[in-house]
Amino acid sequence: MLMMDEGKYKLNYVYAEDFGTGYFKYGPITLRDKPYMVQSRGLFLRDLPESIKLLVPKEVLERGVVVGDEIPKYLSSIRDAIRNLRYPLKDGIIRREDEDSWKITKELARYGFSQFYSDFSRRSDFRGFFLVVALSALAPDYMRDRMIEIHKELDNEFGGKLLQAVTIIDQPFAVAIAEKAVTCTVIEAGHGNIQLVPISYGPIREGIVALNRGGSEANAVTREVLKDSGYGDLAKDEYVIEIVKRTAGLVPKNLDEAIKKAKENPDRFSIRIKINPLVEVELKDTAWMRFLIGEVVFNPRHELFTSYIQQGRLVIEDATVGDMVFYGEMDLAEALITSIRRVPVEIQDKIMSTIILSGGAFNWSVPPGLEDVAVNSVDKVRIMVSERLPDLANRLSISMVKDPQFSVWKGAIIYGYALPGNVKWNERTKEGWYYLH
Amino acid sequence: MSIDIAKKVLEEWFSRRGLRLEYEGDRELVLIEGNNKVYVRISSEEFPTESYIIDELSATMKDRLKYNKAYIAFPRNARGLINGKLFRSHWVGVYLYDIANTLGDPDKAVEELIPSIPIQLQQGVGEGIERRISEIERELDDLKGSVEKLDVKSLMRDVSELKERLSKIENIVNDLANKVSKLESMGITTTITPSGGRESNVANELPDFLSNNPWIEVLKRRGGGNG
Repeated sequence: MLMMDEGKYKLNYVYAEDFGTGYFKYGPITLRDKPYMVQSRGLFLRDLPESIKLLVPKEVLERGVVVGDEIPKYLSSIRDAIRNLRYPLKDGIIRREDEDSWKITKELARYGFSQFYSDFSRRSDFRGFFLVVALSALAPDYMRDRMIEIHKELDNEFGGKLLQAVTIIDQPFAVAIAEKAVTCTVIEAGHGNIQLVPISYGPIREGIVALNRGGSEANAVTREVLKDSGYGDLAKDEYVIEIVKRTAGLVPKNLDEAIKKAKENPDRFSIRIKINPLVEVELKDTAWMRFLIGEVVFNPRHELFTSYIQQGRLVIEDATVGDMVFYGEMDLAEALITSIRRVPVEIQDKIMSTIILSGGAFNWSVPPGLEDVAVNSVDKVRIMVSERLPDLANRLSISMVKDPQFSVWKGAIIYGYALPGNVKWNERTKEGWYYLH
Repeated sequence: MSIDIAKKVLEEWFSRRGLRLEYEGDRELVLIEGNNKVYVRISSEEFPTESYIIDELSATMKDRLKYNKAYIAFPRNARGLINGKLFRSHWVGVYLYDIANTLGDPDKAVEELIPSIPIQLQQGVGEGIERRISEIERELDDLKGSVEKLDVKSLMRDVSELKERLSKIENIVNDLANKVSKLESMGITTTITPSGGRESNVANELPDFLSNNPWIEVLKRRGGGNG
């Protein structure tokens, strides 16, 4: 009976927050499959002219930061808008001492709740939300603790009626849940890093492997391609780089063969990219370099990248965050094998054979007519893994997430709905419900 | 005889000033001055008594409201006998005319001793309204004609058929709403579960992405050991 009541309660009162680097997605289970979202950023109301201060509500002024659609209201009044407009998450991580970013994070959460609380608080059966916060799998423990702290404070501000319990979930785990895969490996490729998270009835923390590259390395290679093509001036503009990467970037089936074909027949691979009515970029003699843009995400070990790195044109190196090593040059297949080796032998096979790709850095397409040399991310991973583990080739199931933008939020909602209320927060594993009252 | 001469003198004088003769009676002239209608009553009495003047005035006042301005024209010699206050209070003006035109200047054959105070014309307004009413009547007739051309009966038929169908749809919606609220009050639906005795399934109320998800069972089992 208790289970039934809890299930019914949670059908209305589970709430999830997905703190992505680009967007904060949030909202209760009743939104069904589409959360609300705002850009993950905040504007500090410092350097505000006295005349404007009079117009700002007192409590906003006291908090000193605004988010969401409040930002445009104040943007033009702030003298140094660029310095005061801040993006709190870098590759999903907030540094421990970065108080400004924590302030914005809290404000984003408050902004979300304030859109739903007045409606929900009027319902007679409402006893506070079951909140699920989705964070990067690489988020250090202090981040999880601080998130709970922030939500405790928010709950107090709402008179202790906002939240019943809080829990935290890894974003790749949420993806696996949304994709209905109980045993799998989720590879999340973001702007700054790639995370591989093996999952078997839950994330296997020991098996997490992080790579210190992602979409930003594809951008760096695009920049070099532009310079080599005579567009040194445009290569400084991140906007141009992003468009060229999206339009011209290709993932090769095999880099050497693709480059050979492209050099033999440059016309077939040449491309014109209209940035705007005035600016156009043409890659003709350098069209073969289009394959470098996609390849670097999957495997930066080719000698061409090595030469870029030696010339100081590209930086790909290992990094350490907390006790986690982020590998720079490790290719994706090796990263997968490294990850699998760390999980119990009897489930290795199963975890390896189902691979879910998510994240913007896996967003590559194949232009018509280039199917013989270019592939999408799913096929690329299949080729790479099959080369290393030929036995697995026939059994590999690789897929892209169906709903890349919202799959984390959906997974978090499902987790919140299904994780029973009697699973209490465990300080060691950082799992379970943390009750606030 | 002197009245006829007086009329001529006055007409001549008015026409020099751009007034147009609209009507000429025995002792009266009606002239048009721009948008104004001007009534002039002519008296040939050189030495009018007060009672005579009052008679003339009351004769003029009879139709005063038909004209914008009204005057009585007296021979020049009557000048000293005119009571200005009396005329002004009745918004009637006074012309003095000189049949012999003793001054020789045609412009001076007539003199406006007291100006008439103009009033809004009642008759003109009435005409305007009449014109407008007849226009409206015409339009109304046109409308009647076009309405008669419409097939009102078939329209009425369509409307009543639509009403009927609407009420049918309302009934269906009400039925459905009742069923839904019944289901809601039951809370849990009767989705058949293979093991029968397990806790009730909530699948029918779940968002689409929650249904048929193996994780639901996997995660629910976590509570078993602790609870």
